[in-house]
Amino acid sequence: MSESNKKISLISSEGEAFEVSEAVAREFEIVAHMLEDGCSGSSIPITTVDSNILGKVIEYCTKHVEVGNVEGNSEKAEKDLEEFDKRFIAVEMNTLFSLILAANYLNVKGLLNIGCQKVADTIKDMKPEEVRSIFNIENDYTPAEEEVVRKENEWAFQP
Amino acid sequence: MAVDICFASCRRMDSGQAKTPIGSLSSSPTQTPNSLSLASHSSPRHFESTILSFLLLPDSPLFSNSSSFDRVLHDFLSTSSDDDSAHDQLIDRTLQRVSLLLESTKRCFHKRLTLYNSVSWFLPQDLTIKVFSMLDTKSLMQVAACCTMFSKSAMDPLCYSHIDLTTASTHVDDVVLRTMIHRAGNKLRLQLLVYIFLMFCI
Repeated sequence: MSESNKKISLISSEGEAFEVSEAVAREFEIVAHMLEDGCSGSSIPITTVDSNILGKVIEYCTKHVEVGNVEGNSEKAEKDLEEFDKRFIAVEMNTLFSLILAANYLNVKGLLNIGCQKVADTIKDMKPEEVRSIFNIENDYTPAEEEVVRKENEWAFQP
Repeated sequence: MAVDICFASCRRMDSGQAKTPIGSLSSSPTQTPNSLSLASHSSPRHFESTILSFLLLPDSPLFSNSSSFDRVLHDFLSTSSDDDSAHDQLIDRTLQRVSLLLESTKRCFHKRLTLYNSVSWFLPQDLTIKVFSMLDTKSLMQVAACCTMFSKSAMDPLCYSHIDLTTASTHVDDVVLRTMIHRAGNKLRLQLLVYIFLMFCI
């Protein structure tokens, strides 16, 4: 019990403090390692993540810690969690990218995986032109280079 | 847009050194006028500032009709010898230089697009590879054709550790499969569906 009562402040890049239980903070592997290395300070600066994104990552970790603590009825809990994950990453692409970067930096593996999977699901089965338009990508191939790339993998461009 | 970049990079090159006026011969006062001009023309600084001064010419009606270029080229040819082959050589050389400038401008343009893409898609390469490794192989090939950044990430062996050709089986032969396995290198984890696919091939 004493562990879950302990509070830790995570400080965003703007200097805003987010107070979370140690259990939630430990979901950030980077923080868990700091605590294990004997870093006893109660406030930890997360300088590369802004308040908006840090708030979201904390929301994700809090939910996952909560569900992890519930005993029994695990099937329903898992389903709920899946639903939560799905809603959680239904955000616009820039936010999704920022979440992935934060999850990668803070080492929150679950969030990193669902974030990358969401981007992959968006790209899946799309033509190059469609991917370009969704992600605001310009065709920077020279016509000759593009021809080579398409020819090398001609089978993938068949209807 | 493309020409802007050339200006910018030329200005950078020029900024550290451009104290003497373009074409100044004052750097080698002891030489004869002829050799002076040769020495000066062969220096990279003079070369760059000459190109820059051409690029920096302000927009003018002279550019909009090609008669100025025609006249200069005509005069240029008529001042050379009457020899046909000398004319041909001059024309070839001029064409070659213009095409070098054109190619260079295109390269600047494509580099700028590449830079633009890295701002739009701001995941670093390792995370891009992670995303791409979650794609089926056909989608991976399609995304690789979007831009040079994606193409680089899509060639990483990790993207081929799970070769999923279920979405493209009708167009895939063993040559394609071999290419994909080759790209995977030692990262390939032979999945069940590859086994199934191989059975179909045999």
